[in-house]
Amino acid sequence: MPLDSYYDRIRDEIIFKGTLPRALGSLIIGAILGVSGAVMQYCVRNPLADPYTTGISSAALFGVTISLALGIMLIPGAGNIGLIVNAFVFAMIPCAIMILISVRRKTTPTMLILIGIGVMYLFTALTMVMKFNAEPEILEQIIAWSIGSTSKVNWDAIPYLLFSLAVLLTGIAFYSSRLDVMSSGENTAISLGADPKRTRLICMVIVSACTAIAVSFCGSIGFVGLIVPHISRLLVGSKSRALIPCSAAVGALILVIADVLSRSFGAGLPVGAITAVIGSPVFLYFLIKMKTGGWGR
Amino acid sequence: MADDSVESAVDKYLESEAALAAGYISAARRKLLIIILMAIATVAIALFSLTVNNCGLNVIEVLDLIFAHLGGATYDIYTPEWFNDVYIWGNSLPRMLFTVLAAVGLAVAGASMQSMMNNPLADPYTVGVSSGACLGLAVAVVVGLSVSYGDTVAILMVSFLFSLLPLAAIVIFAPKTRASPSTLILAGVALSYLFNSFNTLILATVESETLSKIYIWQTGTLGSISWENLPIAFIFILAGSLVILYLARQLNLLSLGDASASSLGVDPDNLRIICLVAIAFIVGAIVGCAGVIGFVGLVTPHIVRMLLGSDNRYVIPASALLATIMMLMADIVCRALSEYDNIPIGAILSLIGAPIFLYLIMRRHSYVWRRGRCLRLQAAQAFTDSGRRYRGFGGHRAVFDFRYFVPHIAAGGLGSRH
Repeated sequence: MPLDSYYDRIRDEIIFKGTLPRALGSLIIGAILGVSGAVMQYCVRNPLADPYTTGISSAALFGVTISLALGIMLIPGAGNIGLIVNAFVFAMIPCAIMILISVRRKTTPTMLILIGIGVMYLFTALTMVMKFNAEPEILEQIIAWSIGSTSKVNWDAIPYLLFSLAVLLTGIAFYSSRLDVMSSGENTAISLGADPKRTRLICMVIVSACTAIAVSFCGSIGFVGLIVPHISRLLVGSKSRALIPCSAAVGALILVIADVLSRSFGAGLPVGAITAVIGSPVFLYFLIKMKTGGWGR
Repeated sequence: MADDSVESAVDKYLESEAALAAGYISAARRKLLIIILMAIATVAIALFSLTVNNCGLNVIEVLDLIFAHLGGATYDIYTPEWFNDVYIWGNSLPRMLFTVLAAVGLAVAGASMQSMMNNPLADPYTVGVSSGACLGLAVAVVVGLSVSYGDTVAILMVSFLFSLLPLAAIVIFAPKTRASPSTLILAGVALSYLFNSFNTLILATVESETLSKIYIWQTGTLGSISWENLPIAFIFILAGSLVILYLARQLNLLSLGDASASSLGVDPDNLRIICLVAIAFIVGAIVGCAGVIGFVGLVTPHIVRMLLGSDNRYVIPASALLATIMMLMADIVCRALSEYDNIPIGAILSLIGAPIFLYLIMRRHSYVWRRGRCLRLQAAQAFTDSGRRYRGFGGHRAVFDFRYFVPHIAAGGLGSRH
């Protein structure tokens, strides 16, 4: 359709180069975060786990900080791509630590959580030193990244996000029955033939990698990975064959709604702030409900 | 024959009793000895930290200066003595005193929090007090209070008041709902998330200058301590710590479970609320003066428990002393590394503390309550994945109840996920 008027072309540009990839990106990232959250909650058997439990968000923030504050980029290319690559590479470090430790020692879910916390402390400390001495504009960028926003998702990012989602869904699909069995406890799972240690390791690695890809493009958006599995559990129950696709769908929906809300406030509130403000009361509700209702298996 | 055997049995019994008593006394003496050694080390390091300064004075000269100032000596302006006096009295001394206070407060709050929540991963910031205080700091800076205009006391009071908000919510809702202690703690954790989200909202919307100021305030730094906010902080922290120290014996009993504790004369709900109020006072004052200093409250009680066992009457004073040593050393490292006070102390503490923390996990994660009379078996059960259901707070089994474990704010970090 020929676009004659100038305004038509501008509108076309805005929609097709701005809004559409952003909406598509929100869908995909929401799905990734939702599924990752559900799988993490299976793996560590903790209803408060989310995709960042292994420490990848603080590691990615560290990568972003050294590229913004110190200008060190692993690929000395254009600013934004260097940032994304930095974030991704550093986010894979906790993943690597997890693999190394799991291979050499018997790791329980508790240990994995605690290792994630330790890694998070380390990276946060280093980031803190740099943030403390950064100039205000750079500090603002760093904090904006850590809150998370979908505003920088453009068409270049979509193939990577799609790839990440595809890997996540197919990878987890293989392990979904084993994840179910793992929920009933370590010994039961071993006796039923689902190797919980190996399943846990592989699933957490897949989740960390895919979440790292998502996080590199949009920052660490919180609460989605935490709440979406609980909501999905309310809708379809705890069986992983139902829970994982439902988490993907609910996650996508929630992030798109948050994205719409963030664009409605004229100044462009970042998506992470919206998910934080809305997510906290929801989290509160689930926390209290868990106490009374229990986490159904 | 029969008499002899009865006598010997009685003798043996008396001997074993005496041996038990002697063993107990010697163990208690050993613990006291360790505490006294730590106290000596604390004083030594405190004096040493006064000498790490730009003036190049040694300990005797520093002490002379302080006593002279107390005696009312004045110096001509811009002479070297005047500079020294201003620096030592105005900067070094309050900083050292506050470091001691903050360390004591955080360690006491952390140890009591761990006893109260029966959770080895609890630290003073778990129940939302620090999130409230951070929100108060953000509000204070946004409203326009600023350090350079000498508003340190106002900032302290604002953040302190905000830090009481989560506590007020918990205390008000406690009698209304039919709440067990677990719900109270849960509510505190959820409130911390809520306040963090408000904090995030503020951070996302202010412009970069204000953002920088807020961030610098909220990160744990000792740079803005002066004689204005020190006395108030001193009162709050001292009051809270003394209350908790007094309640140490009762906190011991909490580890047996609520039912057993109440049959032994402790009201667990009341005790928890009183301790929470004390912790709120301590943490509110510390965060209002210096921001969120992490790690000390979490790691120090564990290290002390490895040395002294889990008896809170020893653990609480000893962790106060050990924390003071750690924080003074971290402060020395901070000041030595950077000329202009550019390194937040929370960062140094995390860099030292995170490897310790990781090491403690990797080694044997049931060490935590292993020694001492508290929770030995329960720790082993709790940390292994036996797939058992989580029991409630009152039962013997649920030591490490996963619901209260929240991968929350890292050492001094902002926000719940960052």
